[in-house]
Amino acid sequence: MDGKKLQKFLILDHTADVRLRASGESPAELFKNAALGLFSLLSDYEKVRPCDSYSITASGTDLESLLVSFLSELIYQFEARQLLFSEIEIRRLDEGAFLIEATARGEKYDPSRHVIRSYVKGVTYHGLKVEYEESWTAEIVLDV
Amino acid sequence: MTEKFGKVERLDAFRWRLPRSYKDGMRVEGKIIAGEALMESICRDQAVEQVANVAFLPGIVGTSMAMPDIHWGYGFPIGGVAAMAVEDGVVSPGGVGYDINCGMRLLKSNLTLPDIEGRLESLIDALFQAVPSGVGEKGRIRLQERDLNRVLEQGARWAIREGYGWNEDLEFTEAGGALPSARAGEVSERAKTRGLGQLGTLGAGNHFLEVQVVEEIYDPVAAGAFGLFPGQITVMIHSGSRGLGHQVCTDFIERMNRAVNKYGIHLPDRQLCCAPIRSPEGEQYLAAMAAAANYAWANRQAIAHWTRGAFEKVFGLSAEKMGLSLVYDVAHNIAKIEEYEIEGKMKMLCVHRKGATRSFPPGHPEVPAAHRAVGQAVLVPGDMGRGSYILSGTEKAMQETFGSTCHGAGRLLSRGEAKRRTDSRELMARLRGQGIIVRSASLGTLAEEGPEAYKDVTGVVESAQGAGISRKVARMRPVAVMKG
Repeated sequence: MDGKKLQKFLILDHTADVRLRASGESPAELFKNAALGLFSLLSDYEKVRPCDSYSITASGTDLESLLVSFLSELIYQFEARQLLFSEIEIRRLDEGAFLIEATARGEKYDPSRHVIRSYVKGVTYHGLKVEYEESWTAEIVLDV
Repeated sequence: MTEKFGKVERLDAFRWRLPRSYKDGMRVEGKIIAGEALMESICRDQAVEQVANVAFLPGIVGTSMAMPDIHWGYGFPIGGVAAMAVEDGVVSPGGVGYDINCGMRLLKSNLTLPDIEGRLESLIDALFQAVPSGVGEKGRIRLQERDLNRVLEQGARWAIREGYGWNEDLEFTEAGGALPSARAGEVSERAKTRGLGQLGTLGAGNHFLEVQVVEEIYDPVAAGAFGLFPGQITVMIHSGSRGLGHQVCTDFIERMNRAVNKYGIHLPDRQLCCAPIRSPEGEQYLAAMAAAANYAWANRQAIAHWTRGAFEKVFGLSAEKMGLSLVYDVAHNIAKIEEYEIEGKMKMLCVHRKGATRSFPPGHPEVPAAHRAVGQAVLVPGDMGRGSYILSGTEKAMQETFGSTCHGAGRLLSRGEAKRRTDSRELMARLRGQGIIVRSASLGTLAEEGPEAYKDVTGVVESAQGAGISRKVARMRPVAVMKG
């Protein structure tokens, strides 16, 4: 790459929902940045301490469904276990079998320190395409 | 007139037709029910395209419809109604939505504003304390998995047996508060894990609990049947199936994505993923969806119970003495199996109502006996500044829209734009100046839900009336609003 700094993720306005645009030098980096974008939507993730590690796995039938599955898994961990994440590392992304294994770091939601920003109901397929043109990008519409 | 909206043809002042030639592959025509003023904004977004896309679904009967509050959604538009024949049609989770059985409940009372005005602050505080709300808020109801399974199968009936309300509430709840087709076994462990801690919580976003006053009566006979009078205090609750429903939708969208290939279904939009109703995937989805719907009914029942408790605490009278009974509870994101006459024969159809409310006519057996002469109560929320409506169902809806009508005002501004234009504290002060007290679990996001962010629901309700698919009965304005 030519050293140009890529914007990791961008949260865009939409009438009833939220759009998350993520990019990366590789599919794995794209997935990582999409996850960071999701973390920023859920809470003020700068205040979340990466104390504990959690294994995150997901599968799909193509890159788009893998991305939806991956982000849905992170939402599930947040809701079901009250976990907030601030860091994530993609350990393995199998582009043939459409599997992903990652380690997310964070801590349990503490109302005295953390502010929950929005509540994501679902990760949709609306206009979703994982594409490569100078970098890997995807724009995901989240139902909030 | 027809050029104005491209290939959309005007049938009359409130009906617009999408011919099958609009898009190659449409099995049936599309129909949009809206006044011309609403059509301008409808045609500006992708919603019309989505009405056409829904017409591709196998087994669709009649037309692919849009109610006056239509706007684009995921696959199906919001405000979309589509019915598929059970024998050879498909069911699609996108035609129900993520928040399965998001819906409305209205309580009435024998109180008027002067009765409560002096203690309105205490009342909204008591409600805020009694009903958990906001993101990450844990519920008050402690459940084990086996209890949750009962909630999923018995819905509001479970709640009443556990002491959260009155037996008579069930008669005034759509489906008696529980769909018998529910199977807890079809709801995933993940969905159950999310649901365990959230029963009896309001949720966030556009969910609310509002103390209102009946400001105008349009149909005195229907209002009388519903037990409403001018100046009366009512309470409106907007909530759904919380994380459990969202997970059920997420789980089945994934399964249906695989199912479309298995059943050779070709779709113009991946989000219309579906499976034949008479297939394992289709049956399992309907059973899980019914379970999530039952969870939502139990949820609204518990919230109503605590609402009664808050009134009792503040006014020192029993809820019975204050006449805090249930007018009606109705879903606006659901799929129901209903029977309709199609070309002279009775046919079982799966009616998808996504952001659309059932609107059954006078005389229908599913309408509570006390309301049967006037038709089913339809609850249509507006915004926290301008208020909400109660309508009644009609025979025209039965003939034309599979017994359906609108569900609410659509958003006008994005959340970001609403936050840029309005400061939450300023909004609260302004509403207080108008006599409306607001309590919010999340001040940061309150501005996103302010009146400016929404269209005026009056236009929607007038369109539905103009088309004859529901009739205005009364309008209520808010005096105290609780938001998650």
